[in-house]
Amino acid sequence: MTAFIEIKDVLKEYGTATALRGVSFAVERGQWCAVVGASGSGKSTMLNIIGGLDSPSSGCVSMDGVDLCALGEDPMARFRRENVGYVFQQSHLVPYLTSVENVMLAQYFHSLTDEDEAREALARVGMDHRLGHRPSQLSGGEQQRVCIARALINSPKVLLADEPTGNLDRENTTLILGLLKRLHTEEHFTIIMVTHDAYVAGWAGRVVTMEDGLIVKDEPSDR
Amino acid sequence: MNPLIAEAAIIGCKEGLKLALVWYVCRSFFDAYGRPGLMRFFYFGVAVASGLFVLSFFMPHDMAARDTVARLTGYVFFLFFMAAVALMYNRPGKALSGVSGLEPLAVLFATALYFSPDIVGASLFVRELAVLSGQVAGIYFSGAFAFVFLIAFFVLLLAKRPLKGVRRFLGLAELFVFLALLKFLGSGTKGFGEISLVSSVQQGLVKFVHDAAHQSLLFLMVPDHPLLVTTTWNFIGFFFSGPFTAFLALLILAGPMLGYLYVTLTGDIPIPEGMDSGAERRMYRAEKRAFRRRRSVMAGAFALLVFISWYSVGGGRAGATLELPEPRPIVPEAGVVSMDLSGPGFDLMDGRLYKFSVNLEGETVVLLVIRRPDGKLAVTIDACEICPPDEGYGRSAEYVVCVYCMTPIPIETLGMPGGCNPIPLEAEITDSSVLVLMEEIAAKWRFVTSSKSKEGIR
Ligand SMILES: Nc1ncnc2c1ncn2[C@@H]1O[C@H](COP(=O)(O)OP(=O)(O)O)[C@@H](O)[C@H]1O
Ligand SMILES: [Mg+2]
Repeated sequence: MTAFIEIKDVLKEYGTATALRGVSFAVERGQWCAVVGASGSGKSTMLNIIGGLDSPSSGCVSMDGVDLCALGEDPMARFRRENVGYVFQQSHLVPYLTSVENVMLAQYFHSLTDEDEAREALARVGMDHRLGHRPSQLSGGEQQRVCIARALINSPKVLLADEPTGNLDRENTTLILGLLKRLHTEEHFTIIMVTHDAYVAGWAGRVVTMEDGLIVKDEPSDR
Repeated sequence: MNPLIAEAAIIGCKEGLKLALVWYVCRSFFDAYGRPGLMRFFYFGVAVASGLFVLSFFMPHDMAARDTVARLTGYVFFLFFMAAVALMYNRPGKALSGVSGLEPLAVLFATALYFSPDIVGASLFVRELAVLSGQVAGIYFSGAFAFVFLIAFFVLLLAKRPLKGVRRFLGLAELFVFLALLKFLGSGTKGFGEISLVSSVQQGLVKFVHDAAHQSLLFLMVPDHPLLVTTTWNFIGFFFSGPFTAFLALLILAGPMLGYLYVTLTGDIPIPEGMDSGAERRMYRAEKRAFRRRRSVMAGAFALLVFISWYSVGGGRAGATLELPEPRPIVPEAGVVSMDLSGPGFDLMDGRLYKFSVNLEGETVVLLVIRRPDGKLAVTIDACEICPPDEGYGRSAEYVVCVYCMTPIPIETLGMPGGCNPIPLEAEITDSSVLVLMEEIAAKWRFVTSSKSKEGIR
């Protein structure tokens, strides 16, 4: 029985540079896992490979029993759409669309739009008072909450977050982490979160440490 | 090349293409639904139609026979059309899934029905070409057959593998829409000149509406009251006027398709129980909607092609302008009316409508002369047995039209008696003139005068 998310002997090379040197790693369903390490240690690369945004030079990746490396381009895009939610450090919101429209855009690429559902999703991240605002009218923390609503709108099986609190102050960071915690405890979301911040990592149940393209430490959080 | 042989070849192309296309789609369809064995019954059906083809050599190939076959083609088209509509609006849901003993029979019957009138009609048409040219029919049949096989060969060559994605676009209903569409587009019974059935459908409607009106009037014994007759006719006349039947034909053919498009494309998509997440529900609706869109393609194509073909035969403009020539007065000599075949500025054989007037015991009788599409000259009185004779007929594109009740009469049926057709006259056609006996005119004029009660009350 393989784990919910599993990568095995994953090697990733960019020309002569090697970002991942044979990483194996598994995450169980419902786990909240933080990936920490110095800049350039390969955290983002690993996260992107897990989410199917990037493919390994060698090794395999599977999620929920599906071998991602065996999927063609179209089925891969479809799989991503239906199973993975992303949150990045930069919000990647469309600047000329409102919060609700940004969420609806994700619905559109998935299947159909449903405005009521989009409003509800924003309400769940405490953004019901900013439905008609554009990203430029929102604070960094608010933008990130819209991103979380957008990432969750298509009911993914896993939430992948790359430095979700990277450019936020401590107050907003705590707010976002509180949201993730609620998702984790109440809705049993599987979350993999990349961060370089020990405070942020401390919220997760498990902390994986990377160094120079390898996992050097993997332990439960002291929290 | 002899244009008649070219026409035979075109007929061959058309029939070959039709056969090959239907074969290919049916084969792919049966394959996609896991019933490739049904193809055998398709072949049996084609064999039945071929048998009728052989029998058609022993049929007479006159107007009446061609007319009958044309009508049969129309009925068969309507059968397929109605089947398509019935299936569209009443989906059995599990097309071809059950092992029903009737399916092989249905395939055989439908195939035979589908191809027989076309094959027989084409055969009669090709024979007529031979007769027209005075050559042996074999030449024309060889020409037609060469192209049937050539086209079929090429299509089969291109179609080694079954069509992909048939199930995405075709259910049983859509298959029938396809068959009806192909029949509609490719079953015209007058050779190359009339490929689509749209004018046949319209003619059929005119006749139907007209006969229904007549029958009910007779049934109600309305003719007894002249005033009522006139107002009734003025009212009913609208319904079999060219524009009305043209639109009716369009409505009957395209209406169910458009209605279906509307219902499927705007209809609710019920969400099954147990779909909790919004994403799941949206995905379900998106997939269902995409499916409905694909399954609507055939109906949309049908509506569009019907409209194009309807418009191209002048549906939108039918009856817009009538050619109404002035009668040329002639004086009979020794009881014979003689009309020159040609003269300065006219030629009776040019296909336009000509009228002549003679004096019959103080009354003016107008005669109508026109060359029919088959090349023969029709000579009639410019009146029918029903309507008041004052105005007679005018000519539109493919019809002469009764000016009184606006009924369009297909020009090729001129010379046939009855109904709204102008009353035919026996005439002798010599090298230079058309001769009609005054006796004949007087005898036929009596049919007109007998219904003269309508005259003068308009
Ligand atoms: N697209 C790329 N092309 C070339 N090298 C890359 C690319 N992406 C990442 N790298 C290299 O791979 C290594 C790991 O990068 P990354 O996974 O982004 O690290 P982290 O997210 O831990 O800071 C770095 O040395 C980086 O320079
Ligand atoms: Mg990074």
